[in-house]
Formats: sequence, structure tokens, C-alpha cells
Amino acid sequence: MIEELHAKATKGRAATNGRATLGRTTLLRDVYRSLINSGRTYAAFRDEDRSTVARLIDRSPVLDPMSGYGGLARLCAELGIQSSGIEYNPAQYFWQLLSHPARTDMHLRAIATLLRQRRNWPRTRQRAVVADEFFPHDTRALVERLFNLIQTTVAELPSSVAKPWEVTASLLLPFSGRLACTSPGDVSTHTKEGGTCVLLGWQDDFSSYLDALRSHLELIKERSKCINHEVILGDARSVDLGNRRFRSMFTSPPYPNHRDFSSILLPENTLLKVIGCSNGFDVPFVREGIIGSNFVKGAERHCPTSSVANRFMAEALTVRRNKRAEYDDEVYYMPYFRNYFYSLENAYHNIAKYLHASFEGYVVIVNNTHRGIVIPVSEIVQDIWQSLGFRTEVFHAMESSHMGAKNPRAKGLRARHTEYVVRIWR
Amino acid sequence: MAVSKNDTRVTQSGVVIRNDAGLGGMLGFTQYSGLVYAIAQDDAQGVLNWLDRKQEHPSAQIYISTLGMGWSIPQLKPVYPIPQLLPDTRSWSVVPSPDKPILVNWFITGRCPLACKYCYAEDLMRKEDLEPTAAQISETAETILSLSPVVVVLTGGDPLFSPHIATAMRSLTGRVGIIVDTSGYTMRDHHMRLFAEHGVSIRISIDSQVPRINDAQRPVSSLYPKLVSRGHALDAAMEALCRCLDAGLNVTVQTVATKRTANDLVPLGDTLFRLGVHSWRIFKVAPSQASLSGYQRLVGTHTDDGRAYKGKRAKGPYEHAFAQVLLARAAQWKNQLAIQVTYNESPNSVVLVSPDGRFVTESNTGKGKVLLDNLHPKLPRLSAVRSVVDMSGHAARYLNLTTPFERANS
Repeated sequence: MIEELHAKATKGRAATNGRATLGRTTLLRDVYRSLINSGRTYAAFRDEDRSTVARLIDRSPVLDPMSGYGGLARLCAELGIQSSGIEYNPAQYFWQLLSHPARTDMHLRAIATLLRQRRNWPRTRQRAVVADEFFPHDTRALVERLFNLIQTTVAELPSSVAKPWEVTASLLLPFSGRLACTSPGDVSTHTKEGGTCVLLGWQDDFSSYLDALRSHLELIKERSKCINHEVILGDARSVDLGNRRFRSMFTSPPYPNHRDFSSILLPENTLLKVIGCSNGFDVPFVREGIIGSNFVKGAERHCPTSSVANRFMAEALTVRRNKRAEYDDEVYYMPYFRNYFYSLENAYHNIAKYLHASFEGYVVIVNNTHRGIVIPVSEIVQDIWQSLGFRTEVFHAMESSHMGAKNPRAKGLRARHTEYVVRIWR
Repeated sequence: MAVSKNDTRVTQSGVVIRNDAGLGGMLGFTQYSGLVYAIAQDDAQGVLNWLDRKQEHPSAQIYISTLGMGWSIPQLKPVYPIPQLLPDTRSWSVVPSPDKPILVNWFITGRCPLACKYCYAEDLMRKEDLEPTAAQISETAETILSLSPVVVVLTGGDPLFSPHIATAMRSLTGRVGIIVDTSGYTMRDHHMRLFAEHGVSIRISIDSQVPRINDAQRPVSSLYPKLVSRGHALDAAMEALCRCLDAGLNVTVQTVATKRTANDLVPLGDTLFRLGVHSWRIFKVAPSQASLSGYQRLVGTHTDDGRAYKGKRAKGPYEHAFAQVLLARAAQWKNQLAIQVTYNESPNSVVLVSPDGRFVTESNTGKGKVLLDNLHPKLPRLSAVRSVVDMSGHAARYLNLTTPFERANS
């Protein structure tokens, strides 16, 4: 009876195109529901960026050194251009693998087999688990059994797979948050360790997930004109690309708006560690190492060399504040901004080594605010590239509001954000 | 006025009913949802015949999908109207004000394994010399029944901590609806058997689905160090909830919304919905003389050093948080979760019975608990009850008139 009720509530059919979608009551994490249902999250290239990417059609592959969820690969695939993405965050890297157009057939076959094998899915008698950690013993055991089941399925697929564990991880990660004990964080997309995990009906949700994922992958397959996209798990600040020289780039850095991609995807990255330990693989990841990470306590203190960045930070310290704000600036915001701009400098400095003499690139940036003054990220990005010997210009600017803002109810200047597309060339 | 005889009765269907002239209709309590409904006078006789199985159908479908739950229809098709006025709000031109109490909260013990920071009943608790004997329990039960409530809530303390819980249930069973309020911390198999035997509706308190937040508000009492080894209050509550659901018992979850939990109510609702819970009561944390400092720390209308916020923040996060819950109820939970939101704006809208048998209510002038009848504290006159208790607020509280209708029904 309860199962019937849940099946009714959790299985959604989108009004458009009859595609299977995931409802909130599936208890899948918002970020993955959004990615599966609409192919994007709040931080992704928009359709307006398509025409800019199309300018690079003769310069492929297009490089994205901070490729996130693979928004550029999606645009390039639809435009018939090759792309190369570098991503530091393993959970985002695995999402890129999952939605990679060259892998859709393999993933679709794996999904079909998994759905046929439903009676072999692990069972649990518990309704719920309460814990202070993401994966306590009970859910860890369940997730590991599920991982093994998927891995066996993948290994038996007709097409040979070099690393079955990679395919398995990419199929399991978007669902893994459903089996984690999590609680909402202070920012809507963040999540905290500890909470209640409902195990009752998880199989229905897994089935709904596979169903919706199948729809998502079929759409990718249908729309992709090019399947040659490279995805590299690495750090833009230190990645070694050998003798390669890219003639184009289209990228967008994380914005300094206090969203922290390590916190957004913490359960998934924790699971990778857990499963990696018991399955003999290791995915390198330092939570504090993510550009724009909120973790400043105990982190190494660096100073950017960009004069624009330093001017902004000096100005921010002159704003009239109460004692609490002064304290917050001293212990958190200023170290955060310093590390953020320093990381951007390092990343661009490293990537610049791999850019061709005839290079042309675009960086999408949103300027938002801190203590009532604009954080001039676009000017700082231009300053950094100019210091590296490149020429820059604002290719496109658009006033918008609430772009990636922490507080969706913010008003006035705090709600106003300007999106810039900066063109860079030698 | 002398205390009248009990005119509450259990119908053939198990639904508890009482006619109430002041209300202008009939009250009905169903153990399956743990909810009390007011039935319009015009329909009362027909509904009564149907509940007594003398008539095949009541006059409107809504009675079947509300009061018919658990015996007339499968539990899959219930309707949970807000407010609980039947057949609809248009049939009720004024806010009902009953002649007699709808619900009585009976503290059968002052012992409690938890020491909730906001507990409104701390002044009735932890007094060993006031703990009742079995004979006193039976005596108090008769006095309560003489007030003709539709429902008696066995509470405390934690009623599962009382050695006389079975006596109390035996005294009440078949004569009135029974609800047991518990933290679930000490729930055992024999309790489950008792609940099933007496058709009890169980209410389990869970403030947050996050152990550290729930336990910060509902810590285990230091008076019972041996119990601490049983783990988190949330662990125990969730385990008790799952056991009750597995056993097919009727469970309501109660949540006290504070500044720490209000913004996480929707995720908690998602969890409860997926667990198979059908009924959820949400209270805004209530001011009480018994734990005023805890209230001020948790209500979110004051700074940490006790100064009141000004402007929008003075209201706390509740209005927005409750609106989100009601939106989720319609959009996500497809109205399959009964929700009662109580703002606790009328402190003297409750009838409480202390462990030693005195009938009290919360003062509406901040003086703590006040006796309903100073002359007869353990056998109050109905006229005294009506003069001290805010009967309109009482009806609003238990007929769910405090939940914002527009949002709930949008």
C-alpha cells in the first residue's frame, strides 16, 4: 500500500515530450535532479552562449580548464565541435563521464540491464537510518552491494570497458546522495553531514532514477553531432598537457559568491573515498583545494599579485562595518578572496602555457557584491590575462539579477549582477 | 453547574463522537488519523447512523474520505481538509466554540527521559511525591471522562515511563478516543501490544531529522544517566516511529518549530512522507513560564543576549517556513499528509491534568499554570472550565483553524 503511494508520488512524467523526470519526493539530491531533468544546474552555460562557442568552430578542440558539469562539452557536442575539459572535482568529473555522448550507448545498455535485474537489487529491512555521518554501516553496506552489482553488469556488457569502476561510479554517484544521511546546509545547494536516510522504497527511487537518466542520455544522443570530447580529471593550476597547444578556450571560473562546490558534492566525493578504499581505486581530491572553497581555516594564506584584486580588497576593508563584520572580514572573507584570486592567477598562468599563438578564448564571469561594493571579477580576470601577455576586451555584458546569488531574496545592489563575456587573444 | 455525565461515545465503526450544542454540530475523532472533525448539525444524524452502520452512506462523500478512514475506505484514499470542519468551511459561519473540552491532556507521570529546552510542562514534572498511584489514576480517569472530552491524550513526562499506563488505558478504552504522546525513547514491545489492544493513536516527537539539531533541543535528561547509553533521542524516536509503522499502528509526528528547525521543515516533511507517516503536527515553540529562557533562546525573535529584533525579524522565521510546508503539502506530498500548524497564540486554550489530578491551563498573562477551578482543583465545574479556558481557541487548536487556510487549500 505504502509502496503504491510512493510509486505514485515519486514517478513523474514531464509534461514536455513525455520524458521521465525526477520529483522531489524521490529524495535524490536537488543538484542531480536538476542535471537529469533539465541537463543543467544554476551554474552552467546558457543557450545565449551557443553563438559565442560557434565562433570557435574552426579552432577545435575548445578548451575548458574548469569544466564543472560539462556545460561546454554539451554545447560543443550540439554544435559539432570537439572539446577538452579539465575538472578538479571528482563528482563533477564523473557526471561529465556519465553524460559523455560517446558513452551514451554503453550507459543505456547498462541501464536497461540493471532495470531488468531489479529482483537482484540489494534489499534492506530497515525503514530509515539516523546517523551523524554520510554513510553509516548500514547504508555503506547497501551502497557497496549496489556498486558491486552495477560493476558486474558493466563488466558483462558486450563492448569492452577499460575501467568498469569508472563507469560504475559515474552511474552510481548521482543516486548515492539518496542513500546518504544528509541535511540541508545554510546555502540551498549545500549539504551537511548527518541526518536521516529513508531506506523504505529506495528501489522505486533507483528505478525512477534509471528511467529519468535513460531519458536524459537519449536526449544527449539525439542532439550530439560530435562525440569527440576529452575529459581530464586534474587541477587547472598544475595539470600537465605536454606539447599540446589549444587554439581556443571557452570557460567560466567558480564565482566568489560563497557557493562551495566541495560542499555541494560532499556526499558523492565521500562515497568515492569509501568505495575506492574497498575496491582498490583512489580518486585524488582535496576538499580545501577547490577554487572558491569556503574552507579558509587552516588553509595556506596566499596573496594575489593582481593590482585590481588588491585594490578591491583594500576598498572592501574601508567600508563602514560593525565589529562583527570586521571580524568576519578578517577571519573569513579576506582570506577567502585572497585564496580565490590567487588560485585564479595560478590556474590561468598554468593554462596559458598550453595556448597557441593564434589563440582566441572567452571567459564568462559574473560580478556580484560584497559589503555593498561590486567584486570586479571580470576586471581582475582581464588584469591577470593581460599580465600574461594577452589582449582582452569585454565581448558582451548583460545586467541580470540573482545570478548564482547566495540569497535569492536579496534586493537592490546585492541582487544585481552583471554577466561579462571577456574575449582573450594574443 | 454540576459535572454532567459522559455523553461521548464510541460508535460501531470505532469513531468517537459527541454532540455539542455550543459547537452547533457533532465532534468526531478517528484513531486512524488522530484528527478531530466538526460535523455540521444538518448532517449529524445521518453521519451518526452511518458510523453506527445503520445507514450505508453518509450525506456527503467527504465524510467517507475523512471519518471513514481505516474502516470504510482503504487508507490510500483519505482526504485531510484544513480546517477540520465538515462537510466544508462554508457550512460553518462562525468559529465554533464548544460547550465542553474537545481534548484533555493528562500528565499521567512527571517522569521523562528527555529534558527538552522548551518544555512547557516542566513545572508539572519531576516531582516524585506527586506521582499518582493506580487508584488515583482510575479516579482521575473518571473525573476526566465526566467532562466528556472526545479525546484524552496520555502525556507527561513520557507516559511510557509510568507504571500505570495500562491502568489509564483500561480506564479510558471504549469510552473516549485515546492518544499517547511519547518521545519513543523507552518504547518496548509491551507498549506496542497495549497500543494495538486499545486502538491508541500514537504521537511521536521529532523536531529535526538531523541528530545534532534534534538532540540539542531534546537532550536526554541528566537524571537518568543509565538511559544515555541508549543513544540519540532522534535515533530512539525514529526507531519507535518505524516500529509503529511496521506494526500498522496509527502514528502522528509532532514537531516543535524553533529558529533552528523552522527552515528545515520541508526536508523533514519529505522524510516523514517517504517513511509512510500520514499525519504531522507542527507547533511554533510556545512561551511558558516553565522554561522561558529556553523559549527566548529558541524562538528566534531575540538576539543571543536577549534583545528583541525589530522589523521583519521580530516575527521569526515561522510564517515563511509554515507557508513552505503548506506549499510542499500540495505540490509534493499530494495532500496525502495531514498537517496541523499551531501558532500557540492562545496559551489558555488547553486543558491539562497534572500527575496529582489537578486540572490546570497555561496562564495567558505569563503566570505559569493556573487552576481551572480554585474551589475544586481535582473535580472542576464545567462553568469554571469554560470561564478559564479560551474555548474558541481550544476549538481552533484541535479543529485546525490555526493553519492558514488559503495556503493550505491553494
